[in-house]
Formats: sequence, structure tokens, C-alpha cells
Amino acid sequence: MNRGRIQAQGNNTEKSAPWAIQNNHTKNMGIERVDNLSNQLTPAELNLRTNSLQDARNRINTAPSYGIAAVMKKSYYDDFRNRQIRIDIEVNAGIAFIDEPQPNGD
Amino acid sequence: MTEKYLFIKSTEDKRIYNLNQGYWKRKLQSRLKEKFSEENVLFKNIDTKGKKIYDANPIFTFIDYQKTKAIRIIQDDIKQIEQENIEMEKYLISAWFDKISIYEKNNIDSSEKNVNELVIALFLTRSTVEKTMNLIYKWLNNDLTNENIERIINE
Repeated sequence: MNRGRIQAQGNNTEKSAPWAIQNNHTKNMGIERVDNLSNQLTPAELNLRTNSLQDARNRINTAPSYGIAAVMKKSYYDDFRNRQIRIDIEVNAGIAFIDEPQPNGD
Repeated sequence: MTEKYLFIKSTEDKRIYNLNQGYWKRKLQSRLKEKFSEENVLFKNIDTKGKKIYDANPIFTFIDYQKTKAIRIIQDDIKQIEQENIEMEKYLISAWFDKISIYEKNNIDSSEKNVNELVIALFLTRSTVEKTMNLIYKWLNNDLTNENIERIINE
């Protein structure tokens, strides 16, 4: 089982976009989870996390083709003056963010 | 007085990054009186093939399974404040409580175990290292609250 989540925390916000799947977890799935979390945020919450959401997307997109194995947790914040307002990426079990399978690949 | 930042080139130079990581390990080993083994590293900042990720996010992790307490230290890149013309002292270090979900090794279908985690994020100076040591000492000795996090950080 591959498990993990993208989470927005700090300043009384605690919202999450998790996954728990048997199949491979791909980069597109990770980006979809970031977008899902982004859509859960109010405009004010989103405004405080614009850069950190992009940092999370960058981390996913620049993961190696073979992905990132559990355990991994990273925190990103827009402003070092308020680090608790953040986006966390967690890979809790299995592997996440592998490259998409090739259309004609095995 | 502006503090001197340590290992300022660590994100540009892998050798300095490794020295920086060794510095944390020595400091924490002497303070925690723990031997660091594969067993009490919560996770390494590596990819699936074991290749190190040189972003210091995190630069150090630790777990005490008996006390079910974890520690994660994030070291911010000094480059982001080079252009800042602000009083930095009060922004050098932050800390907060979080939880991390872990599963038994070799049994990823097992039930999840939530471990309490102390997260410390900082720019590396001698004073932030000392504050980190105090925070971790109190954390492992069940004496850390949000109130004394603030007190230690603002000392």
C-alpha cells in the first residue's frame, strides 16, 4: 500500500489531501493532491501559501523517475517570519511520485 | 548585534553540506546521550535509490520509539535573507508540534502509528543551535509546552 498526504497547517488551518492506494502513485497523482488541497483553502489561507504550494509541486515534479520512498516529510513555508503557516508533504508508506507509465511500456 | 551564520555555503557545496550534517550529529549526540543508528533515525533525506537530497529539509531526524517522540530539524537557506534589510534575531528559529504517521517496517498494511513530533526550523547560528539543544532536551524529558517553546526561542 502506498500512503501519504499533502497538508496545509498553521494559523488554525488543518486541511489535508491524502492518498492510500495499492497501485503505483505517480507524479500526476501527487500534483492532483496538491491541487485538491489548494481548492479546499479559503482565499485568505491560499494567499498565505502560494509559494509553499508551488514548492510542493516542484518537489513532486523533480522527484526521480523511480519516486520517493517512505518515510519522507517536508515542510514548506512562504515566509520565514511565520514558518508555522506551511504546506507539508508526507510519504508515510510505500513509494510516491514515480514517473507516469509510458503509453506502450511494459 | 548580527550573529554569524554557520556553514553558509552548505546548499552550494556538497562537502560543506556533509560537514554541516556531521556538526548537527555531533552536537545532538553529545546532548542527547544517544547513539545514532539506523534504528533511531526517523528517516533519511534521500530518494528511493538512496541518493541524498541536499536541501536540508530536513537536515536531521530522530525517533525515540520507547517515548514515541520524533524530532525533525529543517535548516533554512541563508540565501533567502541576503537581500532582507530587517531585524533578523526574532526570526532565526521557530518550533512547533506535529504528528507523523509511521507503519511497521516490512508491513506497510499494518495499522498506522501516530508519533508526536517536534519540528525545529532555523537559520544556523551558535545561538539557534543552543536553543535547539534546549528544546530537544525538554522535549525528550516531557517538559516542553507551547509556552516554553516561545520562551526558549525568545531568550
